[in-house]
Amino acid sequence: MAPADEPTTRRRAMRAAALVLGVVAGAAIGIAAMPYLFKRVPSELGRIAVLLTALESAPATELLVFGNSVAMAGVDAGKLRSELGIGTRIINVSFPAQTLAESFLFYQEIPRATRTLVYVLSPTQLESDMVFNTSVPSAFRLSGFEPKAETVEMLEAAFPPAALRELRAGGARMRFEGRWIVRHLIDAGLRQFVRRDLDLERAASDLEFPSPYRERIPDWKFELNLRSILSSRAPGPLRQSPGNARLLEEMVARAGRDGRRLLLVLAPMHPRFRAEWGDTFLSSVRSDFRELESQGAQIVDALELLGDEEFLDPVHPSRAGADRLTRLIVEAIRPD
Amino acid sequence: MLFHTPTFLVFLCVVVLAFGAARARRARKLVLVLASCVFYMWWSPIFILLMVGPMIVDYNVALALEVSPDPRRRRLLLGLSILVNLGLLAYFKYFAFLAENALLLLRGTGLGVDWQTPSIALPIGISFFTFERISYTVDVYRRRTPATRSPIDFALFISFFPRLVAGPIVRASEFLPQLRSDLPLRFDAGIFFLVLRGLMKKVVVADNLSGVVAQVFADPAAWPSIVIWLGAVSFAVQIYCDFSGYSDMAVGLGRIFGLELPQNFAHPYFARNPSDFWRRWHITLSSWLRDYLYVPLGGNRGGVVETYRNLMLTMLLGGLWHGASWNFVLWGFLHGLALCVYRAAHDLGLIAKPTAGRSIGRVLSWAAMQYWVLLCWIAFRVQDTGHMLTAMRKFLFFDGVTSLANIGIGNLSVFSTILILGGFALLHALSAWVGDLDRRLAEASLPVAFAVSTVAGLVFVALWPLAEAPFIYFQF
Repeated sequence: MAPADEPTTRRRAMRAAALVLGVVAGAAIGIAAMPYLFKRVPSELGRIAVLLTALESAPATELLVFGNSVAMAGVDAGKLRSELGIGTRIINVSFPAQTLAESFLFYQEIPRATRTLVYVLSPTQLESDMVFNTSVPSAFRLSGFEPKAETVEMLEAAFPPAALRELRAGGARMRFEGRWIVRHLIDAGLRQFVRRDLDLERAASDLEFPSPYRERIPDWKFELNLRSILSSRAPGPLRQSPGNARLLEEMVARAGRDGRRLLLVLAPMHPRFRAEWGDTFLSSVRSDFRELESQGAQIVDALELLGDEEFLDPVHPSRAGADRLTRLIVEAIRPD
Repeated sequence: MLFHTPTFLVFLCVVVLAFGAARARRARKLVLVLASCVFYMWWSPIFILLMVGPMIVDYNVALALEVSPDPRRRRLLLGLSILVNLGLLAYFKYFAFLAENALLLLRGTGLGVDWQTPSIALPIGISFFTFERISYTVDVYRRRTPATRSPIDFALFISFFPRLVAGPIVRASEFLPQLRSDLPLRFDAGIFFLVLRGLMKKVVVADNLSGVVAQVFADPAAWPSIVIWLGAVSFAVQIYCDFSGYSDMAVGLGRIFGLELPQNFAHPYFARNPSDFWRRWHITLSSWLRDYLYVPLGGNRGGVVETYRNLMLTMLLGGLWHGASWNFVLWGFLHGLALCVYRAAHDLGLIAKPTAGRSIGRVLSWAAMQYWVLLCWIAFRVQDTGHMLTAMRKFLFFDGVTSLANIGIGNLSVFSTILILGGFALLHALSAWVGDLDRRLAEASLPVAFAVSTVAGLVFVALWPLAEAPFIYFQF
């Protein structure tokens, strides 16, 4: 480099360095804005913040319902309350694809007054090795959730530490993990204009019966979904992931220690799954849960409760299906 | 060590500091060679032997080729170099594939044979640096480029880390002369925006589309035609942004060390015919295939049949270069077919020369070409034959399902995917019409350039993918 060129080169480098700083500044603004965005814009995981706020603001809640979208569409907590004659609120703490570990995150937030816990479990979800769905730990953290030591301890006993990294992320890292919110903002924001067949507002904020579904899906789609699920697992007995099996046992033991009644509801399965996966599958599910019954949990077997016409799609119960499932839970809770 | 990871950023800073501290040209080249070795060994230290061993062979073969007047000896030397390079490529990349297919063939004939197909780890970037080494010895053999006497120059030519694992495929005649001049350490707005452009393509576009593409092609039977279309378009954009993003970053990083690398892409999705497409897509590979395969096979110097044969062979081998799998061969075949049909139509005078007034014809030829390109991408992306045929059938024969409520919304991030595709299309078209945006921004005033950088930072945070994804072309 000729000496005469040096000032020009240096000036150019300084300009480029200023542009690098511009990128850093933009990134810093974005990271700082994440929690604000999470609270202000609608997203599919915004329900988590709604639920955590509800648990905090309703200390007298006597009964809670946990689970995935089957619990959202299949258990009407309002009906449960009126049938059981409970004076206080019952909260349906379910959200789509809720894993066992995600259900467990709520445990530390459960009001002292809560004496009964209802977990609606789709047996096949217990086969998955997935600990948390993508972005769910981040949504918990952005909602102000701080995992207590005992929560982390129990999760660590069941799952590898790497699975808990996002949950334990702090500061800027936690905010950066929340970047999924932007894509959710786009997808959830536009979806409400397109999916007129779904009540997305209800799914996000209803505390009793947050079912977004209004109608049965077309037959071709029903068949496609069925086939897709059938091809995703080979017929045969239930193969619970060791982590889920361990956590389930821990949850039963902990509920017992805390003097809480724990109902494990085996979610209804569409008749086609029952036929395809056969008695081997059903008997293995029942056998696994009998073990938990002996440890103190109460098992509510709804596996064969519903017929084809009581499903909106291969997984989610219709309104009529929800009424039957809710009634079964009422009967299980109500003293003889 | 991926370009878009903090590890690489630290590595680059260390290399820049060492490069800056080494004032002499020879010392700077040595720094780059050492850095390239570290970069390559980051994946698997043992495979450095694969790079160094043939490098020693080719360096000496080239020197011998230069001084030898004996044609027979020269042919033998060239044969040795090609044998070593293609032999290693064949073993690491194709041996398992050949063994598996031979077994299937023998079983098909009823012979009761059986063997365990070997599992061989593929050294990263082997296809790229093998082609570079072959082009070097062939060029020296043809006396088109002199053999370099500097082992450091040769080592740097083969191993220069910005383009080591996924190109652009560089010719010795382009690279080695640059090493004879000063290697100034540079960093300016042009380099900044070029690297930023590459990073944007990779991180914001390609990686964000990869999830939808994977979901759609994991089970094409589960989706209606409109989703298969979305998957095909998404993959076309994903692979372009992934690969051209890497190339942009490689070119930008090369410039930091005073070395110019060739451009690899020129808006391929604006191509209106197969020849045009291959002049715009992976330019350094297509020109390599032309110069070192198509032309030596005879090119278009023989009869009509020979020309088509040469075209098809070149494209089939070009497909196979991407990976040891039949879907890549099919991809090469489909592109070869398009080139043959286009050439035949051209020879028969069925294709009119484009004129300014024929805009409808231009749009139609563009649409037809890109339709074919998308179909070819399905063959490229889907390895399972059953899934591939299902996806192709749904792509070609529209099933009429258009209800937005039933196209997979809920399982797929449809809107953000469409938004990313739309954003890409807009910027891509803009850069084709007004020239590369990075160059324009480099010349803009500092406040404007700073504002764009700040927005880029915001976009990175907002759309940085949730899971790290390697570059697609690393596997080739």
